Amino acid sequence: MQLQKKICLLGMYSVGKTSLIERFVYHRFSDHYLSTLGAKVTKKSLQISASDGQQIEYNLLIWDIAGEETENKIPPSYLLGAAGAILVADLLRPETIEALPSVLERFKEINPGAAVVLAGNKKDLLQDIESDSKEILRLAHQLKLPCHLTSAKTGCQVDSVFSALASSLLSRDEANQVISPPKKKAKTRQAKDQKR
Amino acid sequence: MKIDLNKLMPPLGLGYALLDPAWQIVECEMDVIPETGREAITGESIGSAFPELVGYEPILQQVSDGELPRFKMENLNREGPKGNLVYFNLEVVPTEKPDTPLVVVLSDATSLAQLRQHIRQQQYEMQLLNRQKSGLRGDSETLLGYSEQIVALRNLIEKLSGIPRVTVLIQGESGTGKSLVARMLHGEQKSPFVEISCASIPENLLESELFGYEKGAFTNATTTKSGIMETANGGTLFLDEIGELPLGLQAKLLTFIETKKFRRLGSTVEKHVDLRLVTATNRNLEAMISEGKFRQDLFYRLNVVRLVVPPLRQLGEDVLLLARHFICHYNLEFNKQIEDIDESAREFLRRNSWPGNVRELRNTIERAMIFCSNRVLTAKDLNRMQSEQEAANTRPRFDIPAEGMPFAQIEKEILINALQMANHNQSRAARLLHLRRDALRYRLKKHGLLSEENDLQEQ
Repeated sequence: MQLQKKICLLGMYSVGKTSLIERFVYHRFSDHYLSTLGAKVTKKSLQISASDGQQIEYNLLIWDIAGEETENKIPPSYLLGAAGAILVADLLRPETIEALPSVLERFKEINPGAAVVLAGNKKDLLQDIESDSKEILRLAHQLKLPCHLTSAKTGCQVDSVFSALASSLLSRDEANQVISPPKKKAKTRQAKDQKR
Repeated sequence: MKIDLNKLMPPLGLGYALLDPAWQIVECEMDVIPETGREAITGESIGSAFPELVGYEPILQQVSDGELPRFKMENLNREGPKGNLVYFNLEVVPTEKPDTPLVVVLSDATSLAQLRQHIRQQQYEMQLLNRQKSGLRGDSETLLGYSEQIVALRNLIEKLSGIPRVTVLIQGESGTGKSLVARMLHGEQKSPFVEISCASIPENLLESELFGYEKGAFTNATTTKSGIMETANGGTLFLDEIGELPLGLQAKLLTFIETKKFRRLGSTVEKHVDLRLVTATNRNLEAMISEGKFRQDLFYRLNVVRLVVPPLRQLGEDVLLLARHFICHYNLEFNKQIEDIDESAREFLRRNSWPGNVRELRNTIERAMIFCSNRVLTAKDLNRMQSEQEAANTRPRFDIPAEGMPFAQIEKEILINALQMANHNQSRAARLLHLRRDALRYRLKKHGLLSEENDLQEQ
């Protein structure tokens, strides 16, 4: 089964949104910083197993949206119709982590049912991962969102963060019965029917 | 009147795609933005031709139904075949025709977007650079390192910075970062942080600098001037090198600490200030007390909380972290792109005892980076100064043993050295020792160094 989903990468400028997409889609990385203007859409398919074992192919339309100093500057039209978002922060710039709650709020205002995952990027530059990742992990805990520490440079956890978002999309699609519901529930229904 | 879009749009520099009610493209012209489209997309669904519009179907419906006048997205970008970015604006407009209710209008925005992108790039790079610089030098400076001592010290500073009026004495070798610790104690408050080194100001000026003076208090006091005590009111006063404070002023400082009051020079009016006093020294104040050079009662007042900043040689791998930090700093300063230090440099950094501590390390890295033209610093780059010093120190040295040694013995060794350096040429050896040749021969004879062989060689 194939499903097309729009997902957005959001976060302040220079946190590595474009680099994460480049790594995930094209398996490449450039140290050269080129700020994004506007938005760019890239496609990538991701296969994931539903709880009934069915293979679901998500055709992701990944929106690389220019990072702004404030979330208010992002045109809402870019966010419309998104099924999910990866909120990206630079682990070395605390202000990019502090900005995430308001970015999330803005995104959720437009897409209340969307799936969200956090990515703390530039893990390769950390001297003390435990100490430097404390803030974003605390925020993830507070917001009850999954969080991955990524490095677009090394590729570390990049696939995982997109897979995590795809898993969240799948859970939502299963819950909304966009795809067949989990087997366990089906069995329960069968049992109920038999009883009747 | 039927409008032929194909004749209207391209001359205006616009592309378009006419959609049927199922959002299939029935007619299109995309040549104005060649990189964004393909030769023919007629018959394709809107989502397939414009992935930017996937998820926007409800919006398209609203525009088609007249609930929204139009829908526009600006600065969408796609990568062209040569890797160049093409920017375009996309606008969905109703046509009021039931069989083709919508038209997607495209306009090339590349030229303007490239300019905007360029400006934005500069702005962000400036912001990032400023942030990096302020991180290296500014208010957000912190003690770098993960060694046990540094982590413990940082934790202690964090606790103390929350207690605004506690007096702190910072001790540590020269160059360990005592001033930085004082700034960290002050934190990022807007209240003043005033720093003065007791060693840098002549004794006769120090009192007026600290307490201020009234007009006419002394010969050159032509105006009234407030001292740094008043300037620091409400904030932190940091007295560095407190061990150098003259005894007379120590008594005055003690009185101030006890009463929080002082008088300007030449004034009878007491002033009250409320500040946190932080002092620092690399001297052993207890030893100075026993020598009568520092007041014991003042020491007790200053030593409410004592912070000891550890020397760099005790911080293990932190030296590498600091070295990389300074490399980043000087990369910005000197516009260099040194990426790292190689193994030989790491070994050098670990092995060195760093008597000048972090200050010495910083200077070493700075010097190495000035001369280094590679991307990686080596031990040779770092060792440049030491090698030069060693080369300068190749002249003979005489270590006098603890039990002492006769002067004649020293003289004999100097003569032997001079002869060796001069290749046993007595005239040259005499010049090396700033002696006349006869005087040298006299001394050589005295020490039994004037053999026939020497004489023959000379002649």
